[in-house]
Amino acid sequence: MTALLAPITILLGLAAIAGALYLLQRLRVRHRPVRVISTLFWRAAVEEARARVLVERFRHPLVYLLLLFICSLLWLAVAGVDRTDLDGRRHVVLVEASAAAGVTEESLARALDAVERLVTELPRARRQVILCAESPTSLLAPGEPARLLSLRRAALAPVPAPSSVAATIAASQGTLSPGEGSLVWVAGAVALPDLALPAGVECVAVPGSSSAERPNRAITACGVSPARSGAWDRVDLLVEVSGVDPAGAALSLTLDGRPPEGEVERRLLPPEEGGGVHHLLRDVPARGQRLVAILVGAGDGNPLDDEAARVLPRRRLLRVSLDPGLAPWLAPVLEADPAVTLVESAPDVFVGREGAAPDEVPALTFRPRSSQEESILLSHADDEDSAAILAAALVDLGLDQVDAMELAAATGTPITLGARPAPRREIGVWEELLAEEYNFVTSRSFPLFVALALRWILEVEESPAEIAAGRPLPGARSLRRRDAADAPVLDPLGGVLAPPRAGEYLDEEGGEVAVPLLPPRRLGGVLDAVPPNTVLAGGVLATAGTPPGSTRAWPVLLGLLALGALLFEWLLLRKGELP
Amino acid sequence: MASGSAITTGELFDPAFREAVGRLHLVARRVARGGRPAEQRSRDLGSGIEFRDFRPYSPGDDFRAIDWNIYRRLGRVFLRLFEELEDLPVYLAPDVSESAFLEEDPRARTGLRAAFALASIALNQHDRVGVFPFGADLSVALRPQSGRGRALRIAETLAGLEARGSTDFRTSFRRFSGLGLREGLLVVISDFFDPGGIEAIREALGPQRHRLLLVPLWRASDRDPDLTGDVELVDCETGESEDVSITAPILERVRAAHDAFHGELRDFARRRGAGILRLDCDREVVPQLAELFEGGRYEA
Repeated sequence: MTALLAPITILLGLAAIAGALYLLQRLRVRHRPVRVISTLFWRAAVEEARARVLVERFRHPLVYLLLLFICSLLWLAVAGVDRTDLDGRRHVVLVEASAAAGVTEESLARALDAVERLVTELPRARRQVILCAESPTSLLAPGEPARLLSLRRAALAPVPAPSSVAATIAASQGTLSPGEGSLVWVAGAVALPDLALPAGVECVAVPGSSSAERPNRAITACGVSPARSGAWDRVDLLVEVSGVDPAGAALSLTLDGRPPEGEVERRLLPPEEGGGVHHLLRDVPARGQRLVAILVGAGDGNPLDDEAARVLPRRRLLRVSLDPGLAPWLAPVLEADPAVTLVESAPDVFVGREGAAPDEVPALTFRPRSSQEESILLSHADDEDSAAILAAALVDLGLDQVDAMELAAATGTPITLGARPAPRREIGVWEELLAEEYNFVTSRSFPLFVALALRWILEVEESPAEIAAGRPLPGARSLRRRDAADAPVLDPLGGVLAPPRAGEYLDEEGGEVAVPLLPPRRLGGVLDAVPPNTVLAGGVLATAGTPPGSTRAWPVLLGLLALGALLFEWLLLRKGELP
Repeated sequence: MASGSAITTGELFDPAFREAVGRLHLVARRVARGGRPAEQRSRDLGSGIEFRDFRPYSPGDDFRAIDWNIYRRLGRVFLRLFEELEDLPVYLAPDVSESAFLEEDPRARTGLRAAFALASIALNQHDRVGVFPFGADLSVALRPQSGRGRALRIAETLAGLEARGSTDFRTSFRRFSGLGLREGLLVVISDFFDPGGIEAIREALGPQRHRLLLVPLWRASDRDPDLTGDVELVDCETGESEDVSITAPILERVRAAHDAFHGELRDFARRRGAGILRLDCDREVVPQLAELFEGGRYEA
């Protein structure tokens, strides 16, 4: 039974039935000729009957009403009257499609089956179905016929993206009308975070949309961190496997398709830390290799969370040429920086006094106070914004660590920071600040300032520890899906950009960015079955009573009523009350 | 069966049937003068055996009728008068309209058997019997005649009757009155479904100077017709049709009309001093006649 027709169509159908039956009643009945010995008594009887009817040809108003009643019942049963209008609430059905939430093809199909059954029982004008994947997608808008859901679900599959059910509920709160009341149905979701639902809004699980799944195992972390050994050009790798018996599945690690050198350390975490297994690979040269971790034999029907890829950062030593005249102050600092190697020729950056720098080499220049108005002057590329550069400089250069007040007091002049466009990045610093009486060189912030200044000049960026679908990607301005280059993922107006789903991306410079799924770690790793008719109260799913709006038996009731009316008509006919 | 004979001579002349009706007697309260000697008491006074009255002697009277005992006591001559036994003319008027021949088991069959039974009874008593079938009009199928030997003739006459037109009591019995027959017993055997209703029957039979015996031919289906749905009822005699949707109220009204008709027929018979015998066409004739002939006698 499907609510195929709109209420206005149903009403028009009822009117058509009433009209058709009326016309049929007005039609002349084809009487069966019967020869009788006399019509003497019949004439008297018929004449008496005629005297009591208003319209000569419309002689059976009760029969007409009974027929209209029966036909209307059958029509309503067939057409699918909007039978839950009495409920009066708006129904928002959310279908969880996130593989990060443990949704498999099988469970998604089951959830959609349950939703298909559910929508036939909901008021057509006030129900909508939303697929919660990387972003909410409408599957069935209010007023659309339910059969469209069958057509639209054909191409649906679990999406390698974090769950957006909670975000969808949160985003919908503004549109959920407390006055009429709203009911949010969730299909296939395992757990929901705490939500502050407005008054009159309930959240329930779709009956039959979820059940106990096979134990799930997943790669829940794939991180890169600076090598604990301190080597600048090396990183440590961490891959975490969580779920039921995480040690029961083998983890395959490759770097650019080859097994990594060195031994993978495996460490089983205690239950209070999640009970997962950490796979550590230390001192891996950071040369932009592609790390691929595959969980072999997870056996959970959800392959999307069994694989994670990550492109390692490219790290090489910064070749620095030092002006010998400044060696007493800067040589120890540069030698202590693990990212720096002092060279005589072909430097990446020059550190020295004004005029000593070779042409076309970015430099950290110390120049007399008389030749530079600002204490520290940042020269940046023409396409960069000076104000933004200045705003970020305090942190980027570690200037927030410098005691500018003390330095100003010592030098007798304000310590100022300036920025200007230039062909390339450079930093100019008053040479006088290197004087020992100013304490800047001997301060703890000086090595940090020099190290960060070199990195700023060479635009060395820190690689994020972890990249995952749905998590912010610091420093990224725009991404493009490798398989959908015309669909860029843009910086959301200065906000933090987060890749919406797992996959291969290209950054704005064409650099490869691999984004793994990395579902959240779940204690126990078992997808608990959501009991039917559970209501979310304060973020906790609790068992509710009768499912709101459940009117599955309504068409059957209409049919039985029509059957009863037919039986009544038959009895009247048998008793001779009807012609 | 819309035409043709309703019954054969053999069926009428069935020995068992004749024996059964032979035990029945038709007795007239008093027959009219001028009849032939027979077994019915008449208004004539003559040489019978039943003393009736005295009257003074007048010249020419038969001396054998003088009551000499009265003469000795009173000195006056009186004659003793005795009741004359004469015959009762029985005029059988079977309905031979189309309606009597319509049904699977036509009512004419019952009506003719009843007519023959009454004829046999009368003939057994030396009464005269005439046959005057009627439909749209009345005809003389057999002039009144007596004698047991006439039974076969009457049976043949009855068996030879065929359907003829619609029922018209007024025309038929106006013609019967015009025949000038001696006062007797007029037996009208019919369904009495004259299109003119009970008024036509009253007008036709009321003025008759004969004693009347009405024999309505009836069936239970007249009162409770076995009809359903929308039917076009076609009168087999007039051809008029009536569209009727059979409902319980309609059937109830039909029953009421039927009961009213037969009630009025009974009232007419009672006021007219006529006998009435409703014959159920679905039952045997003789037992129903026996109910009329209480103690084997029916006093007309």
